[in-house]
Amino acid sequence: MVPLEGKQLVIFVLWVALTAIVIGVFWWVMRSTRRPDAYDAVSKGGYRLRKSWAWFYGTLLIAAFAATLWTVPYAWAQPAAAKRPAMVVTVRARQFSFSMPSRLPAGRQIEFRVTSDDVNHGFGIYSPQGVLVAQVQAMPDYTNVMYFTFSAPGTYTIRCLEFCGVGHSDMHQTLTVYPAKGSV
Amino acid sequence: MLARQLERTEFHAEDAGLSPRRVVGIGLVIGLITIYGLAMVGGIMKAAQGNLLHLAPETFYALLTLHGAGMIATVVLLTGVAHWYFLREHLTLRVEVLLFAVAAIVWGLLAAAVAVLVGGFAPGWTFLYPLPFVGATWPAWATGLFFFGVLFVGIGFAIYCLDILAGIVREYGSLLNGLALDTLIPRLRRADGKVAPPTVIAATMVAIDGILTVSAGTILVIALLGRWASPNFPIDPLWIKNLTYFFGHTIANLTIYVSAGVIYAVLPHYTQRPWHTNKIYAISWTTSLIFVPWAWPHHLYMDFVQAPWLQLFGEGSTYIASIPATVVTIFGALLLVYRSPMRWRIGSTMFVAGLLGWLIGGAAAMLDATIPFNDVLHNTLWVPAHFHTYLLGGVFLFVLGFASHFAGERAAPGRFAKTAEWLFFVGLGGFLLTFYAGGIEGVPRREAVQPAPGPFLADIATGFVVILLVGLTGVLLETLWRARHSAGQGGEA
Ligand code: HEM
Ligand SMILES: [Cu+2]
Ligand SMILES: [Cu+2]
Repeated sequence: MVPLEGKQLVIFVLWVALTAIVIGVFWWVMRSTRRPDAYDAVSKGGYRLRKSWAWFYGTLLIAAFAATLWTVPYAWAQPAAAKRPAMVVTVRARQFSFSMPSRLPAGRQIEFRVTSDDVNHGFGIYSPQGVLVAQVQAMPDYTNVMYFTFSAPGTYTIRCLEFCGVGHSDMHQTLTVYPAKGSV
Repeated sequence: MLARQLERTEFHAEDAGLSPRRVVGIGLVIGLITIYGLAMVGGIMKAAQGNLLHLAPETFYALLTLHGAGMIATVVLLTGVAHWYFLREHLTLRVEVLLFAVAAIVWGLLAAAVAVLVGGFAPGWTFLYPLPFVGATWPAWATGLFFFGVLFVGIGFAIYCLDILAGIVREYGSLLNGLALDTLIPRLRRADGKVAPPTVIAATMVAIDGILTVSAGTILVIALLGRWASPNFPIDPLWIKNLTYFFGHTIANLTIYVSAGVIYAVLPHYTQRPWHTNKIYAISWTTSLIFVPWAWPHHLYMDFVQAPWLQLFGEGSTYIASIPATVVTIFGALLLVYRSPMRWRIGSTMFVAGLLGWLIGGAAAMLDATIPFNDVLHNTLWVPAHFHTYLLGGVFLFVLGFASHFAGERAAPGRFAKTAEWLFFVGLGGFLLTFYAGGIEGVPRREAVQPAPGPFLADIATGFVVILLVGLTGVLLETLWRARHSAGQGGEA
């Protein structure tokens, strides 16, 4: 099994919590039908609850939206200073391989310029432990720019993450990330 | 020619004894048989992703394409006839039009099935350009036939929507009244005080957005047919990707809004409580009408060249579109059930369970629609995990619930029905959990051969699919049995 860490851990915890709450609420509502009451008697409180729920949910969404503004993976969201020293690496995807360097340094920001020679492909980076750590699409006629820093050396896997034809599931290769001078 | 054909059908429909109930029944039976078959195809795919079965990649991807396209078209058909059945209580709708729509969708499905099963067409149900044309393992006729199939399904749905829109205008005066905006705008108020009930409000939203979606789909298919006819036909990959998801996302998404219309109509029968229109319904369905068609950019988050405003607008629209669903429809349904003298039948159980699937799948969708999370979820099994939760564990349950209601339910389910239901839900839950586990572990979707732990999870999933199918068989048999024993009466007591 791939270790549960990073964003995946956060997502998993959130989803389990949400699912548990929702199941709990449904169970409670379903059981309540054992002791029926008049609709008028329950709907007043229900509408009040709905109002609070709407406020709560709306606030939650606005907060989540605001938080994402600072954490999107796009180049335009990276501070200018962080972009400058990046090492530029071109990735060309095609049915069914990537043409790109097989060795890259750790600890140094890399500007991946990703494109495709034929159909849509994906460019997914999996850590040596098998955790998906970043991805971007590879599209013909366009170049997607992704900034990424390998946090540790090791053998990474590059995997196609867009269905691209009969060889799609064979479209993966390894990438050796070596320790850079002066970095961890 | 189309008009003439329609006229002809109109002429014969009554002679042939095609009552509205009969046409709905035909659509229901065709749809349920198709879903049953396609669910088995789903099970075969899972078995192939595990260690239980070996399929050549081209076969796997052909089945994937058939399953995806077939399921979407079939749930459009099924939810459509179910909603139509109730809309007739409020609107004058023509049975000939429904018959024509059902026929168009069935012909579209058949065309797609031939393209896939005979031709080997296999670029996935979203047939993302330029995949259908580059490195294809199938002949060109299969590509063309499949696109015509998509066009037929679109035409069927569009005609269905148009008849509903016309019916709404006839009955309530305008589409604004169809959305019950007269509860907000005094100028729109009718002299007779008639206000659209929630199920009609839902129909208004679905039909307008449905026409919009089919229009986009038609442009998409015409562009692809242009490219099919001439390799030099110019198509921009980013433009067509947006158009593809505008069409694909929205049409799949709309099925849940059609379902909401069914829920508004059915749940009051079981809870013995009325579901009335008020301002909140007008506001929330207008919100859905506007924002649901803007959610598609969340499929292009990982296309970093996409305009930033579209990325953020897609995220915002997805968030906003979730508010009416959770605050109004699902909350309203729970309030209707809470401490009601609920009649627990197969139908009502399916509806309540479907609402649960809708919410859980929706929560997973919201996480996926959050850009920094999409970074590690996009095109993993998390995606089919969440949409199976609200399509299989939501929309399909509403369809089963409707079928049960339609067949007639007099008594509480017996031992056989309860066992079948129980098996079905256990299979469903286990199947979905393995899907989520694969997603969080980073296993890519749409892979004939998956990296670990994909195959291991697929083996477990296959077991659950078998349990699900056994349970489903029981539920369908029970429904069929009830239909036989209350033939022609309809409804439940
Ligand atoms: C027992 C029932 C079902 C089973 C076992 C099943 C199984 C599967 C499997 C294994 C996949 C491929 C996932 C991947 O690796 O990418 C899939 C994809 C899909 N399924 Fe299902 N499924 C079921 C029901 C449904 C239902 C009810 C719907 C819709 C109403 C549906 C719609 C889809 C769609 C749209 C896809 C994506 C196809 C594509 O990627 O092109 N499925 N399903
Ligand atoms: Cu690829
Ligand atoms: Cu691929």
